[in-house]
Amino acid sequence: MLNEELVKFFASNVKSDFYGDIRLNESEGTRFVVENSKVRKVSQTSDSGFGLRVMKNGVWGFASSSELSKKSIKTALDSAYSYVNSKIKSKIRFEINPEMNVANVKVPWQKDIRDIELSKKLALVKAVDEAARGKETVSTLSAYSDVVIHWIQGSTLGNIVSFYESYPNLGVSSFIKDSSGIQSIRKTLGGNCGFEIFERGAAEKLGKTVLEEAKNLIGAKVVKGGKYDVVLDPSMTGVYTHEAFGHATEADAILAGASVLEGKLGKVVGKDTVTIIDDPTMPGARGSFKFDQEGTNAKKRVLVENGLLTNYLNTLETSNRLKLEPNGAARSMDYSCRPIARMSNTFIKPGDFKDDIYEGIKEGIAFYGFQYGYVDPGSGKFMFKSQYGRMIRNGKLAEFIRDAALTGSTLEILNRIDAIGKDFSLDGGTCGKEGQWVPVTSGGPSIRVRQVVVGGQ
Amino acid sequence: MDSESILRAIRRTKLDAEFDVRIIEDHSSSLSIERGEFVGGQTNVGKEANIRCLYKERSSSVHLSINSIEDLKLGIIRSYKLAKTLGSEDGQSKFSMQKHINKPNPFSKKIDTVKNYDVLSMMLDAQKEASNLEHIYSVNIFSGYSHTNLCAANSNGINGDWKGSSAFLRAEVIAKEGAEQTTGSKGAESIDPYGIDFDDVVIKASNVASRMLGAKSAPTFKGDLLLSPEVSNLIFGEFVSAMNGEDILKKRSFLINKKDQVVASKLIKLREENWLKRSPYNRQFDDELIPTSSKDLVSNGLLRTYLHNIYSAEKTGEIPTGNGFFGLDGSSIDTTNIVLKAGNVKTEDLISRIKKGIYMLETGDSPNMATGDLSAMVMNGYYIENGEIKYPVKETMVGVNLLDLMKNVSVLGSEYVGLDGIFTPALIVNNVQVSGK
Repeated sequence: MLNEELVKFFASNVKSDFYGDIRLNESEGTRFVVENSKVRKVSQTSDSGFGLRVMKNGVWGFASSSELSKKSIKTALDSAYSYVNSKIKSKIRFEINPEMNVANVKVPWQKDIRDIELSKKLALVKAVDEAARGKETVSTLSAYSDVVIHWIQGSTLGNIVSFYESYPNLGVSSFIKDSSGIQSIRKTLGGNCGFEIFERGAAEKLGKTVLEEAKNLIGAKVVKGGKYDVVLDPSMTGVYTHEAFGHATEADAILAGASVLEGKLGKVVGKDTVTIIDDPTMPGARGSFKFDQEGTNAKKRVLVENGLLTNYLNTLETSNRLKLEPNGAARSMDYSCRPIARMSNTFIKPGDFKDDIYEGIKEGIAFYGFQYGYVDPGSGKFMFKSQYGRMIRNGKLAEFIRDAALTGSTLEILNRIDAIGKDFSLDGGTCGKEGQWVPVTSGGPSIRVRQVVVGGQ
Repeated sequence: MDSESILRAIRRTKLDAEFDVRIIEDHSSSLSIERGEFVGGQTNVGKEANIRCLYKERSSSVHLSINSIEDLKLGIIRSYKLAKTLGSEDGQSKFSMQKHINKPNPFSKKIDTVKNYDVLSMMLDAQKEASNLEHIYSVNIFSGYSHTNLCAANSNGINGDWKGSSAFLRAEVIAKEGAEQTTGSKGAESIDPYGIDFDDVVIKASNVASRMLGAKSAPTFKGDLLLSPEVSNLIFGEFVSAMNGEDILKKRSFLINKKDQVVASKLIKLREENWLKRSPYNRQFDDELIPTSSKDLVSNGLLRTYLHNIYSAEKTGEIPTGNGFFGLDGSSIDTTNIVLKAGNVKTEDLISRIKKGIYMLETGDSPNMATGDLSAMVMNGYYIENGEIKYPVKETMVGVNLLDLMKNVSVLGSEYVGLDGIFTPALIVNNVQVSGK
């Protein structure tokens, strides 16, 4: 069991001319993998440790250990000091002024996943796997995972917060075969919440949806490459918003000169119909949290308001260096990682378009469901691949297509959005940066973008 | 802790099940430079165990951080209870029974005496040189090194110990001209920081960044593709992933039913080498205690083997190939070193052989593993016409099936890179669809 005693021990052992903070972390998790109705993998994880930081004269020293003891903290402190006391100095200067929160937040969710019997979790993943099977499927792959994390964090200034995070997640893939080979659709359901997320048939519905969408891929062809007008569904809108735009608002990238949004605060970056929000306060969402990993209260951040860039995602360091307000964006994967600027639940605000979003498109492509993608925040270049697509011909949805991918530059695409839908949904995922993976969601409405390069054969 | 103490812990439990235990102790350090300023360093120390249990052909696994032999015993009991109550009915039937030969390990003796000051100095020197180049706006460098002790044992009395070290360098450089901003990134690995040429990596990244200024969309056409060693590295990494025996078993790989069939140009000689000089990826046994081996993967254009852990070997009726390595999702399949034999044509001569094509310096894409279809963005690259580089490209994609790509490799270059344990040269692929303006 974690206790605050180690935080106090740490604070009392940091040299008086240093700022220091520490994160203690304990996690317990379960995972079941079911393939083709058979239980393939059963596993449990249990992890604990601490990560501490000290800072003086603009240099951080960080050290972590999987051993939660006073002796380990002292050893780690010596390691951390060795970086700060290096003969090589930095010209960078900043102050760390945390919110002086003192809080002990109890488990907030309705059905604690630790109270749910393992057999019930296994039954759930078996049911979703079964629902994803049909006569068209060649195989199914389903996984249930959960993890409950207890964090205690505090600093040499006296702030200390204790809180829990709980991430149940269910994922299912259905594989179908046609003459072109095997195609698959995958969907997930999860949040920072309790087991209640899987109630009222949500899991079975997930399996059935995957099967139905997979069937659409039978006979689907690869699109011909070229430039098209495109409509992105909420999932693909979310990926653009998160990957192409959101990463460029992370203030550590701004300071490193590695973002296309550097120097653009207060300037127009997109059409005046576009508003982009990052909000970690959405109840139960996978990217939500009560405190960030520097003990700052989570806050809703409007990144773009009517086309104007209004904010970056800040840690205590970046906000001080950029002379902005801290906004609770410091996140770390676990105790072994230092907190860095990250997103939470990132989305475009919905507009007014419905089916008229396809109007005026002579030959275009509608993209559905994110498969994978990547972005270079420094140049703004990105590439995203959808799970499937549909041709748009003369303003109407036409035949299904497979392996549809698009590429572009962050700001050019933001300026080519000319219609925003009324629909809205968020997709859960896990975002990677500097080797750290944190739970997030991304989404928004459907959007129409003019003249985008689409890859094909 | 060593593998003998794990063996004793397993024997003392006296439970009516089989166990397979792996413990990893890791000690790593890393340093960061942001725009010429040292901003901080990090040390991580961790010890974790992976315990697998087989109870009457039902299996389970438990992964936990451990600090004592007592923690290990509790983990063994936990895995036993889990296997007995809800264990997987689709696991392997036994753990390794194969003894392996203990070879000298790839541990660098220098790793224990690395001075952070030395590494920082090399980073700063490289940064200074790059910052003086035209159009270079910011240079960010990350470097780190680690040493790892791995010990493993199972109920069959098989045990092994391995000690390894590794170091990395990554440079991310931004070039700027007016409102246009471009990026170049390069990385390098070795068994200690002294085996990495810091200046070379950072300057190469800077050159890529500055040369990408003025990029425009290439035309849409069918032509040749020149892959840089880094892109070749990524593509061959994915190709080897498709040899994964579990994906073959579950019919999720485009290489299903392709063993002993033509899958590549006759130029392709692709091997797994379990021992290469100064590689951090050398291993004498895999994570399941099966001996690793050097072997042909593709030769004379034919696919020679699939890669198996114990599970996939049992289910497909083949033998384990020493490729059982644990991933994020537990037991999985991976490799030691992958080597594609290089040719002897310099990169400038490769360019001169292309009538119309794309020189792809960087991408981040992976194919649809079930079909092999690949749609890849040219993250950094050039448009080539009549043997000459015409301009850098953006908003350009290439589309090709990986099997077609492999069969259409026409020339292998001499420029070479080793990253993530994959060693590949530059090469030319004919007849690839390019999508641009």
